[in-house]
Amino acid sequence: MNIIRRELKANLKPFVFWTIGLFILSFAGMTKYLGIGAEGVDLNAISDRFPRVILALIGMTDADTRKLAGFYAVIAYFATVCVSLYSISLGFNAAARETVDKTYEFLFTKPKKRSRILSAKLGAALIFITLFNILNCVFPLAASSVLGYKENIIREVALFCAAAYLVSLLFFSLSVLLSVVASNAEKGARRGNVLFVFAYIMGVVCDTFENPGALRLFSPLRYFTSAELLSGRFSAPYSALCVLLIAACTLLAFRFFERKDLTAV
Amino acid sequence: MNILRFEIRNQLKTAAVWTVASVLIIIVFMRGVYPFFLEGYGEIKKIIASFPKEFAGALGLEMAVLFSFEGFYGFGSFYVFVFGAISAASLAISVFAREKRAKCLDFILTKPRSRRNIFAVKLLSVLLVLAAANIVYIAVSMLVYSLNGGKDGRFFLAACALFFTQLMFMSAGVFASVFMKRIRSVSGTAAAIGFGAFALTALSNILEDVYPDYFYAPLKYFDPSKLFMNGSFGAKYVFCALVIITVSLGASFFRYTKGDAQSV
Amino acid sequence: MSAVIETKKLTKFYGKSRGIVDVDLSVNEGEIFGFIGPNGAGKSTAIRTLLGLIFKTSGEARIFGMDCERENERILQNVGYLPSEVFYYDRMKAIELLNYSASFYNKDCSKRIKELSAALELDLNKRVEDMSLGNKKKVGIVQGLLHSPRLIILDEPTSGLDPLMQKTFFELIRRENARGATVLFSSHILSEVQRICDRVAIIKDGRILETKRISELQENTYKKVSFTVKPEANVNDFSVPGGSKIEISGRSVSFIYKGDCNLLLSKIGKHPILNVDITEPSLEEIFMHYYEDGGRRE
Repeated sequence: MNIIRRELKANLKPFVFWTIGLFILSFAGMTKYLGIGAEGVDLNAISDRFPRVILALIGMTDADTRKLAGFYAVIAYFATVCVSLYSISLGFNAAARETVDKTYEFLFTKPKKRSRILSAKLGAALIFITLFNILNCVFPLAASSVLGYKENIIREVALFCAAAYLVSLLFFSLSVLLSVVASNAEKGARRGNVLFVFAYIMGVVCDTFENPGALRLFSPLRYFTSAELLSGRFSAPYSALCVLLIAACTLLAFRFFERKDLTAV
Repeated sequence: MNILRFEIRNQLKTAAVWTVASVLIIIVFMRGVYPFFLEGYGEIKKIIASFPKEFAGALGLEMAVLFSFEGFYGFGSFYVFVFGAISAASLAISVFAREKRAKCLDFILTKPRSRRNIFAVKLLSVLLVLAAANIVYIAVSMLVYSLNGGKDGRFFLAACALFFTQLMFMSAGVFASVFMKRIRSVSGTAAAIGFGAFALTALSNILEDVYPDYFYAPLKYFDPSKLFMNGSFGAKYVFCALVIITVSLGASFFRYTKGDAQSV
Repeated sequence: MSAVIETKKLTKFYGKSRGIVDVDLSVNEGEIFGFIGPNGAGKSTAIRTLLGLIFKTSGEARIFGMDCERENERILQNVGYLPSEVFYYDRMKAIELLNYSASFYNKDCSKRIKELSAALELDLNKRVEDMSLGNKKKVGIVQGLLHSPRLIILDEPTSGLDPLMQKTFFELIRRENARGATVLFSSHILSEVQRICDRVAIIKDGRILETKRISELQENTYKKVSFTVKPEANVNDFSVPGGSKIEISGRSVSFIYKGDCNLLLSKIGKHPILNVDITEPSLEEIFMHYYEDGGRRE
């Protein structure tokens, strides 16, 4: 418990920063919907003619922005990016902060099993990720009601947020694993970030195809697509894959961490 | 000279990777994606023509720019800018936080060099590396442009926009390194800066209709599309960029030269 | 003799918390000067201020007659520094680090690097981050000495070195001193200061309590005397002017004495002596005396 308490305190400041970012993204994004409604001009007709690559780049494939839900889908995509990046940084911190701060000798000589310490750290991070994802769900709904939109998007928001939660947990466990395995902390962090960039690019590549098929496997950001979520489908196979990968990464991370040489840098 | 050599050598690998990546992005965009993009233009023109008059005018112009080679270059540049911003910030952070991260600030500060000199040389090393990377990037851009038969003299300036943008993010990186108590991860900090800027840009795209100014979105200060549409980046944004660079470098310089070196 | 280091009323506060207060120091050319005090007394603060790593709140600090802040760059040309905790760049071999360090001085230091690392038995091809604390410390020592500085500042240099290495290290410092280098040596271990220093300043709670020659410190102080008489003899009574805390137990007598040694010897000589032990109090004991009384003296 003492470790969790310390971790919660140490991670509080970044949490506030990221929350502010997410808040701006959600609220500012939702205001824009008003604009489109008022113009009375069908911009979707234009974007329909854009090649998929371009829509993929701006995250607007399959999104019918004429409807509030479709519009929300675009924002939800950026929110997922935000949530994932935050999770990656939490994962790195949980796995590597003691070595970076050179306090590992202090902590890991306490009468506590390594796996216990790691679970406490992961637990603390998990609390933040969960909170962040709850906010990710609350913000657009709050914005929608504050702005007085009539359409009900609770179901869509719930689905998108559930997807974002799974995806962020996946990035989190990947980041933990990479940081644990890397011989030095900076390498772990870099790999985590490069992995995300790769996932982002693969996401764009997926979107350029009508039927990306197996390509989706390479981009967690596409395990749950807007099209599917908007039509109320929550892909069971990809949920299973997510859970499986999360479990595998976490398990491996613990395995490696148990046997890792703890040295400076 | 010794610090310069040391710092440049330590940046080479990262810089090389980023340069190759940015050049690849621009080649893929302009040689790979653009031709596809152009195919849909005819139909889009028809749709715009069916819109109410005053609306169609502005939108038509916007689309005409977007579908021109230069305009599309501007569109693609944004993605290069995001990565360029992250890379510039990460180079600056790696150079300026090197001692802080390794807890050996004492080492460099007890050498017979003034702190002013150390700061200046470190800054110079980042500038040189960025300049070298940008020369490659500009050359490739110009080559792609001329292969496409482009003649607009402003294109060169548009190709330089990456460098200007990177200067801002380099300054932000320097600022972060000097003022943050601890930099746990270079790439993590740089990615956070880059994502912040990315989010602000997304925000400004969303709010465009309501608030046309985008002072809070530095990634758009040197938007090549604006250059081709309005003939300039916009004096106020250039001014903003200068303020960002001057203030963050000035404050960092002051802190670096006058502040107590934090002990381990 | 000219002063290599001179401070007048040097004061440093970190915000509101005390670093050092009114420190007056004067270290002469060619001496080995000890700087001693318990943890947190302000030794490192004083040293870091001298080196221009941190900036004084008030007072004056000069090295080689130059101002420590304004002429920092020129001063450092001739200063070698060994920090108390050695950290260097990641992913660098010792030799790379030392060459980088040497490149800051306009002279060829390669021979010195070889000599010094040979004397310390340091493997130059190992990465610094993989080294033990002691070996890192050795890198620090070579790093601080490789340019034959005129002033060597050592902040708790012996921590992490084994006793044999400590001996080598002290020899090295003596050699540097013989070459003409002035040495400022901070420590909380008194025996090592006693072993090598000419003069010593005692610092506590940020203030200098006293600056004295080592020999002076031990002079004019009490001696511990104890003697034993032969088995057939017996001591029933013993007294001597200047003696105190006299304890007699069987054939042994022990007491503390301050005064004329001749008197002491003649008094003891009257007994059939088997064994005599006259010891000077260790610096530790003197130091404890300062440490405990320090507050009251202020």
